[in-house]
Amino acid sequence: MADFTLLITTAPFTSDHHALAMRFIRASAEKHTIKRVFFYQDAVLASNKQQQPPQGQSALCNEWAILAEQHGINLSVCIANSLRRGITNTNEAARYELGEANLHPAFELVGLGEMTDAINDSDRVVQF
Amino acid sequence: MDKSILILVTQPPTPDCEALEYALAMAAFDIPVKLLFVGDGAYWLQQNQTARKTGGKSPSKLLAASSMYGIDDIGYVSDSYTTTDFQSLTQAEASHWINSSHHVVTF
Repeated sequence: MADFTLLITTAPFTSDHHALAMRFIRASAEKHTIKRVFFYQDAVLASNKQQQPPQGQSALCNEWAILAEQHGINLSVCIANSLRRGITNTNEAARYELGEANLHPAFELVGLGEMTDAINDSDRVVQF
Repeated sequence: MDKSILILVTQPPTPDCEALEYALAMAAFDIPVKLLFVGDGAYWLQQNQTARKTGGKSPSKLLAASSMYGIDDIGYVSDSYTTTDFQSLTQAEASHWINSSHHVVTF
């Protein structure tokens, strides 16, 4: 049994890395502990709740939210990378007067200090 | 003892220096950090680079600040770029850096 942190750095709509990360979680969650999923760089775009995929497809933010709830996983999103890319929670939207927040409620904006916890309390950091 | 991390940079410099910001943040929280630049990633090490966007950060200045954060191991492996400012590593030495780190993150 091992403790994993997943670090996702790839853009969600130009690669299948997010799908692979989800498959990794489903495959490993029974025997191992997924401490958290940390979204960095373009991966933060997955946390935008205002996604409207083509008919018949599901929104990636919802797929992450369902998976996180099923397995009790925190979805941590780098706050600096998110603000750079227009992803805001209620506090940051108000602070910078950006209008309505667009962070999906299943995700949380966090600082990189959260990632340092991941380094110390995980046996493996797996990057997608 | 804190676990160590190696930041492996394989991509050329970007307008936002998120790879270096990640490294400096880890070091600021007392995580032992090594920085390894490979292939086109070695171009981060070019001297006197200006910021690649208005009001942005210069990769050179961020790297110059890395020792203040306690990052003393900065090396590179490249056939096309050389500098005496940072450690030139053989493939075997780079492999040792990677194998001796608890975690490896690639940008």
